[in-house]
Order: sequence, then structure tokens, then C-alpha cells
Amino acid sequence: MKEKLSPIQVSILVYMIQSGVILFSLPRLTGEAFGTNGWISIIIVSVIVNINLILIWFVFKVGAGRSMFELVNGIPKWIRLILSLFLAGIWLGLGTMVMVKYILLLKMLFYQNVSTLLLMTMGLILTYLLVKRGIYHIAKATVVLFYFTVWTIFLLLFHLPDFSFIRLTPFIFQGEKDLLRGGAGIYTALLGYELVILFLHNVEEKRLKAILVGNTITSIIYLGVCFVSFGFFSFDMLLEDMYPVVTLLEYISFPVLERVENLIFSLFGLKVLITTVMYLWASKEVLEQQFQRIKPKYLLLIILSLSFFISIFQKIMRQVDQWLEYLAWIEVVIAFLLPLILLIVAFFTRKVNKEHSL
Amino acid sequence: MRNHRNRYFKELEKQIEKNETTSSHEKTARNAIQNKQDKKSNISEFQSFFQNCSDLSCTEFPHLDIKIYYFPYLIDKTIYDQHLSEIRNVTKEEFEAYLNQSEFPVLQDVINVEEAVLSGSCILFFQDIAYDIPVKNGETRSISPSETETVILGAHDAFVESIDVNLSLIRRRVLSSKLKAIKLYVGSQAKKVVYLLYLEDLVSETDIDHLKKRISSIKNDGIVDTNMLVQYIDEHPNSPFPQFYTTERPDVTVYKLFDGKIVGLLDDSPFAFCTPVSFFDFMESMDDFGQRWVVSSFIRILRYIAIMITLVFTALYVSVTTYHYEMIPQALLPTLLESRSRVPFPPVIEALFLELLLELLREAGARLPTKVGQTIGIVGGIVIGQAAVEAGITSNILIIVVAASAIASFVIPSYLMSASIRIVRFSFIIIAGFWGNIGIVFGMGIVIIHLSGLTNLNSPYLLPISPMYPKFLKYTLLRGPFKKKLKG
Repeated sequence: MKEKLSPIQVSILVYMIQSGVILFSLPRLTGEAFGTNGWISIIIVSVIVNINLILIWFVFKVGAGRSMFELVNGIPKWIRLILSLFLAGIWLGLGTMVMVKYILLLKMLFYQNVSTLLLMTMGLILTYLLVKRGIYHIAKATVVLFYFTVWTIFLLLFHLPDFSFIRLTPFIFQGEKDLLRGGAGIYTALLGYELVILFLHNVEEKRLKAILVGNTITSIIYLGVCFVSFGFFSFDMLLEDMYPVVTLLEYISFPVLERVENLIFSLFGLKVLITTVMYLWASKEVLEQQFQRIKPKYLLLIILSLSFFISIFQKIMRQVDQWLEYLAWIEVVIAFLLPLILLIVAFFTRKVNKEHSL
Repeated sequence: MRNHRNRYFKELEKQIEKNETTSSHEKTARNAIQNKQDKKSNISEFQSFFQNCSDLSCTEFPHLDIKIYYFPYLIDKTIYDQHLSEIRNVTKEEFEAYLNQSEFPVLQDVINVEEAVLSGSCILFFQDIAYDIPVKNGETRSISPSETETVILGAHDAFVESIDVNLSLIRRRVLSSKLKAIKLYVGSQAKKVVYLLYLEDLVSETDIDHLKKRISSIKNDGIVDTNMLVQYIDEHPNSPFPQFYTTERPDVTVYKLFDGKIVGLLDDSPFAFCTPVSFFDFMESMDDFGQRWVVSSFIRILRYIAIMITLVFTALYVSVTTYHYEMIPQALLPTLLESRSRVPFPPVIEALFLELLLELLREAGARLPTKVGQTIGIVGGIVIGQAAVEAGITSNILIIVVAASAIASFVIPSYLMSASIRIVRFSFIIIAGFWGNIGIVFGMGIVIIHLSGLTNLNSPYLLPISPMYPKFLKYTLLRGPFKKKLKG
């Protein structure tokens, strides 16, 4: 690959991977997990993510700028094969489930009569167009998609007149709590950043800053949405509403258009698309390293077919949520464990290289 | 005759050998003689080339053994007569001496002879050697204001069909030896001249080489215009979007040159092309630079809004009236329903019908003479404006929507881009008719992915938005003040 990614592209890419459909239920999730003023928990979670990102960056530093695939060359082939298949499987599953979840939600809220498979096909066509040209093209398209979607955050200004600090209550993290499970749920809202490990070596400069800024953008947007929701809804109402952010959108009306939540939610699909695209791209990259004889184009088609095949069986939201929860838990472990493994490998190879040079 | 000629050649050869400081003209003549010794006669080959070309004139002077071939309408008769008067009363020896001293180049190859006579030279055959007498007719259409790119502020001259005049229009604006011009040819049979202009130090050599290769590799004949030429050299021939910026304004061309672009001119075409350009170059007009920066920036923003209106306004109408009635405010709903109730078709048919009618009207207006064009405008206005509603074929509101998107499409300064966006709009309307808002978003996704994948001379089409260079944004999305630009 000739072209390198610029730091701004990387920041935006990180934000777009992280930002997902969970945003629509996030205020409720924070409330359920941390109680009153649960929105503050986003800051805590964001700090943990930053630590994880620093860990990934450290791998890059110790590995002297080598890519993940160059680093794992030191591991025996059969372990590499198992690891690759495992990672590819998880990422394929996550990418697919994120899109299926969005589609089921879209279907449930607005398009009851539209077939899931049709919407899935639309999503996979866009995914194919993006993934086939590689990470540089994905990053370029992501920046434009970012501009097309990020303005929606300013719609929160519509809620300011009805925002009340009294609803925030003076109590922090009080009431019923579900710290471990709920906290992990919120953590999964920020997932996606771990894919940075695959393209960090392709970034031009200011790598650490770029990825941290990306996570900060996501955190600020999540924080803003949650904060407004906590001040707009009463705490009890927030816990009752399945998708409080959709309700927020329903409230917006323009002089010539109202009930724009349909349009905004559809537009949000472009953010979900990038999440899916990046997970499927990651899956393709890992498999491409292992099966170099298969043409990348065929590999991509196999991945997309598998993704489509998985989506056929997902009919109920609860089932998808369950899958997403399991996959996200595994992904959290991967997010921490993969950099650690690579760090150890990088450290040893560095040591061996030093001994050789001596 | 043959003996005489051989003697002449021998004498000439001796003379050349004697003369240590041989002129290049004489060298060429010697080469021509050497080549001639084992080749069939130049003149017969030339005549075979132009067999059945009865418009080729020939003037003979038997006492001098010369034949002059030319196309009467390609040459300047006055200069031609001057030359003729000089040779009319001379003897053969005097003429030989005159030719040796003259600056008329000897054409060695019959292909060169063919090219020269076609480009407006007289070919003088003397003892089977062809001499090129440049008497080209400089007549061309006079320089007039541009019709496709009108401006209120700024220069009003536009390119014409002569490449020499076009070059002069650029050269007189760029008074610097840094302006370089590379001459290339396109085509295999009928070769056409292309000039690549650029300012040294502002353009990368790789880009120039790349472009040179691409242009030289074109073997197709019949490329009559720059807008045709660029379609042979662009990187994504199947894209609906124009990738090379073409203009008929010299001031725009010069601005692009100073902006570090390579400019191309094709003979007989009043258009220049610029490369590498991005999508945002098509949104610029020379008027932007004459206005105050605040005004220009506002107008530029207006143009981007116009693109969005052109692309999705009608599609949004179709989507809302087909699937999402809940999006229409209570106050507007009765009016819309009342208007729609008389229309027997679904919104997508209604919209497509009106949009097609408008495109037909636009195309008819563009092709017809101005006087008839006005009639078409009036007829179209009545049909679209009133009759369609009264007949119950379309709704009032749709007419406003379609008119708004048509007006918005004409706000886009580039004719090429405006046409492309109007075509893409049709797919948006159809997709909105099938899948509503999610369809529009899907279409938008496709367009964005497509645009961000386009390149022009390997430079991204959406530069500086993607990949992003924030400090250039104020000079592309907006028109930043000049002072700061000079400092930067």
C-alpha cells in the first residue's frame, strides 16, 4: 500500500467505527448500570479505552513500526492459523450482528413491511464497494460520511429549552445499580477502537494523538447525548424508555418537516455501515494473510456471503442482542489481550534481534 | 534531366564537404539527397497520397522545373503572391542559388510533406526535393465573450478554435519564462496538436510524464474537442462525474496554472482542460474572486446547498408522499393532500414525468436557435406551470419542488457537473419511490463511496475534504480573504 492515512482521517475513522447503534439506548444503559447521573460513567469508560489505546500504540513502538502481521510471524504457524480463524470469526460475527441489529431496529421502528434481507443486501453492497478498495479508500469515504452524519449532533440544541438541571438530581451513582454487567455494556458502546491495531503502521504521523482524539470525539458525543437525555427525561422515564434517543429525535420539528427521526435514523445507518465495513475488512485482512493463495476479491465475497448467511437466521431482536453481548464480551478480551500478546512477541523479537546484532 | 540532377547533387555534395561550417539547412538537404538515391520519387508518392483530392491546387513553372502544391483556402494569398513574384522572372541557376540561401526547410519524408501541406504550407518540389514554404492563413473566428461560462466581474474574452490564438491569450497573461509548453500529437491518421502548459516548479515531473504518456497513447482519430479528448485520458471512464475541468476562459486557465495545475489545449477546440482537479474546482466561478470574500463565501455555500437540493429535493418529496406522511407538518398536510388527491399516479411516476418533461424542455432549448428557443420556453412554461396541474397530472407542490431543483441545478457553475448531477438525481427519485428515506440514504452512500474513490491524475477527487487538509478548506468550501492566502 502506497498511501498513508493522515491523523485526521484516523481520528474520524476511529470515531466512525466506535459510534454505533447502541447510542440510541445508551442513556438508559448508563442509568441502569450506574444509577442517577449515569452519564458521568462515560468519562470513566473513556479513560479505560484510552489506556487500551496507549497499550496498542506501545505495541507499535516496541515493534519498531511493524504491522501486526509482521509481528505475529514469530509465532508458530499452526497457532497463527487458529488465532487468525478465531479473530476473523469474531470480527465477521460482530460486523454482521451490528448491521443486523440496526436493520431489525429500523424495521421495528419505521419499516415494518420491508424485508430484512433486502436491507441487509443494501448494506452489504455498500460494504463490498468500500472493502474491495482497501483501507485508504475506506478512510477517504469515512471522512465524507462523517460530515454527512456528524451535524445530527447539533439537533440536541432543539432540546435545550426543555432541559432542566433539576432532573439531573444532586445524587451521583445512586439507586439500583448493575456495575459489572452494565458497565461492560457501556464499554462495548465504545468498542471498535481495537481495530486500530491493524492499521496503525499505515498512519503518517502523530499516531497516538490521532487515535486518542478519535476516542475523545466519540466520548464527547456520547457524553453530550447522555447528558441532554438525563436533563430532558426524568430518571424513571429514562429507565422505562427502550430507545430514549429515538424519543429525543421524535421531539424535533422543522417548519416544513417534522418527525425527522426516520430520516436521521436512516442517516445513522451510514455510521453503522463503517462499523460493519471495518470489522469485515479486519476479518478479510486476517484471512488474507493466512490464505494468500486465494484472491482477495474472492475472499471478500466469501466473507460477505457468510455475513449474509448469518443474517438470514436472525429474526428476533433478543436473539441478536444476546449474540452481540457474547461477541462484545469476547471482543473486550481481545482488545486487551491481543496487544498484550503482540507486546510480548515484539519484546522477545527485539531482544533476539539485539542479541544477534551483538 | 537526370544527368543534370546528378550533376547538381554531386556539386552540392562537394560544396558541403568543402564548407566546414555547414548550415543545418544544407545538412538537411544533403540527407534528403542521400535518402533520395534509393527511394522512389517524392513527388509521385505525394501525388498518390492526394489522389482524388481535387481541392489541392498545383502551380507549375516548367522552365524552372518546379511544382507548387497547396490548398488555396488554407494559405495566405498575399504572402503566397509575394513569394511567387520573386521566382517568376528568375533563371534556373538563380533559382537554385535562391533556394540554397533561403530559409525554407527541406522536408525529407513524404509524411512530413503531407502534414505540412495540410497545415497550410505551400510545398515546392524542385528536382524532387520538397521545400516547405510557410504561408499559413491566420484567419480564425474573432475572440468573443464566453457563452457557457458567463461572468459579471472579470475578463470577458474566451478561447477560439485556433490553438495559436489560444496560446497567445495565455502567454500574454503569464509573462514568465517559467510557463512551459509541451507539444504532443493525438491520433494515428489525422494527427492533432495538443499543448500541455504548466508553470515550472509548481508541477511535479511525474504528473507531466504520466499525462504525456496517456495523451500520446491515444490512437483514435476524430477527436474534435477537448471535452472529447479528456474522456480518453480520464481514469474512471464509467463515472457519471466529469474528472477534468474544462473551460473556455483564458483567465480561469491562467488561474489554474498559478494554482499548480497542468493545462491542455487541443487544436481546433475552444476549450482548455486542467488537471489534477477535484470536485470542488467545479464549484468555482471567476466571479468569486471579484466579489468581497464574505459575499463569495456565502455564494459558495449556496452552491453546495444547491447540489443537495438538486440531488435529493424531488426524491425527498417522492419519499415523503409515498411512505412518510408523518413527516409533513399538520398545517401543510391539508394543502398537500388536496393537491395530491386529484393526481391518479403514484408520486414517483408523477415526479419522473415532470422531471423528464423539464429535461426535454432544457435539451430542446439548448439545441434550437435562440428565437425558436424562446417559443419553447413559453410553451414549456405553460405546460409545466398550469396545464399539467389543471389536467390533474401533477400536483402544485411537485411543480414547486421540481422547479426548485431545476433552478438549483443551474446554480452549479460548471455545465458538465450540473448535467451529471441532474442525471444522478433521476436514480435518487427512482430509489426513493421504491424504498423511501432509507433508499435515499443508500443512494447517498453509493454516491459518496463512488466520489471518494475517484481520482484525477492520481489525485483524490474530494481533496481537501478527504483526505482532509483543514488549512485549505477555507479556500475551497469558502473563498477566504486574499491577504491571508498570500501570507500562507
